[in-house]
Amino acid sequence: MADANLLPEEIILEILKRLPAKSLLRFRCVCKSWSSLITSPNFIISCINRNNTSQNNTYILLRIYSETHKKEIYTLHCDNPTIDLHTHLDFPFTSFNPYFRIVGSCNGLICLADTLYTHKNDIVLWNPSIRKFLSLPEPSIRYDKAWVFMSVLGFGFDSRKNDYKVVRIAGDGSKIVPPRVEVYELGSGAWRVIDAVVPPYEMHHCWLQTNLNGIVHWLAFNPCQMGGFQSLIVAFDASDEVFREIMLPPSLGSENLLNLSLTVYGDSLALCHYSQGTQHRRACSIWVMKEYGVATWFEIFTIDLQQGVGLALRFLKNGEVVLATGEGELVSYNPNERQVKSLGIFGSSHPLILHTGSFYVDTYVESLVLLDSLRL
Amino acid sequence: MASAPENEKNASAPEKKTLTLKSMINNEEFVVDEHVALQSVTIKNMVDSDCAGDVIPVPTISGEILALVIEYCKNHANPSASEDDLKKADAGIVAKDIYTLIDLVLAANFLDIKGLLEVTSQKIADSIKDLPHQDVREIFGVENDYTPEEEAAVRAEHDWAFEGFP
Repeated sequence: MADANLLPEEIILEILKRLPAKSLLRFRCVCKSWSSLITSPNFIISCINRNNTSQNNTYILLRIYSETHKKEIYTLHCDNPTIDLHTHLDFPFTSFNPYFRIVGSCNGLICLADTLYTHKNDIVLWNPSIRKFLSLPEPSIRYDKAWVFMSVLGFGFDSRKNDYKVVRIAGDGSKIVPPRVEVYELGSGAWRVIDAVVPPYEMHHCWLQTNLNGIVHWLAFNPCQMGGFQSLIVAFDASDEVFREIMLPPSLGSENLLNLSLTVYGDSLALCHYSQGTQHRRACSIWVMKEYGVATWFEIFTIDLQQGVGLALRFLKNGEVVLATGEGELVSYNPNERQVKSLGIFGSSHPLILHTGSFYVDTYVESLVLLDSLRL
Repeated sequence: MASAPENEKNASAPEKKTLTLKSMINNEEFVVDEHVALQSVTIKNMVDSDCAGDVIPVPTISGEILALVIEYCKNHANPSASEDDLKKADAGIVAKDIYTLIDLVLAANFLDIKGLLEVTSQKIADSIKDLPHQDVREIFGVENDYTPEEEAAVRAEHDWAFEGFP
């Protein structure tokens, strides 16, 4: 009945941008014009915009280290209270360390690094939805002598240029020579040293970054402060390529960084503060910066569990928190009912790994990023 | 106080204008309240620019499809319908075979009804996502312009995505 051959391209586009990545890869074979549409940068970004705004297309990315299999396992879960398993992701890498450090993830692209305890600089961008990855070239700033050199990584998105950027802060660890900064741009495929001035604070290479709206955030402290800590957040805006400082709530400004972590609450940056709760277990208070850049923080609730709180990892859409308990189990916590739900997932008990260290939980959208850039 | 009687007057004697939409495929006519029909940006532009006569001819859309479009517009013009009601009603409208859906998406595009375009596109996407690409080609009436070698090369780039497919 339908003379469908007459479907205008704008309708084809409306339909295609609603398809899962796997279907789109197959439908490249329909005809040449479908293939060039699907692999075009404009189409790829319009799918991302749609998935980010549509309620049903966000997933939870989970990484655990399996003691039995001696390897890291990546899975996608539904963003529902029981975080039901959606897909097992095929992980194509092997690492020097027991598992990769996840620098960050953005629009379906995951940045992995295996730079700890090794002079290799293995940094990979991985898109599991289309099973493509890209190994980054060797960074240009090098300190060949030292074991003590510091190298901090961040992964952000330049929304103006529509490009993904890995930022690397590298210093010789001497505190005499200020560290230098370089940026890898997916679009150009190369590292570029930039002039940005790094705030004079220490960001430990192991501490996780948190990505919000493409901006990278690290917890940091001022090493020159005498008598206690001076802690704060250092942010790197991937569009402007400048660093900014964000103050913590005044009551937490001198807190030890081991008692702090960052995450995202809705569209806001959230700070998790760990302190001793009842029954001598670690409790966690959640603070939210409601208006970005205006460092006014609001404490929204405290999680005080019998099992203790190891690490608050990620908020679900319904407001529940996925967290690792003090016993290394992954649970979801409902702050209104103060109820804990076991997710039946346990962290590693590897001696080199903190209970909570191998967990990574982030929101995730499918995307076709890397499908076009691989044809360079 | 002065505005109260005015409101009452409006409520008791609402101006109920109607429009007649006529399918040019099978000459079927539909009499529709104006505010229902105005959800179509195309019709609204015609009415606004005084191009609309008593009967608005709708080319290339059959009566069967036009009836679905009008059902959609009626549902969405009802101010007391909840979001849940609308979702259910939308699902009913697009519970059709793929060829009807393609006609419907073309109609939604021609009449410029954004919500209907989105809900129909989503349903088409859901219906084709697990189909082999050969079937999709046929449904959309697309001519295969690949040589067998070219097609095999594109396929080989993502072999894993074709597991279980011809």
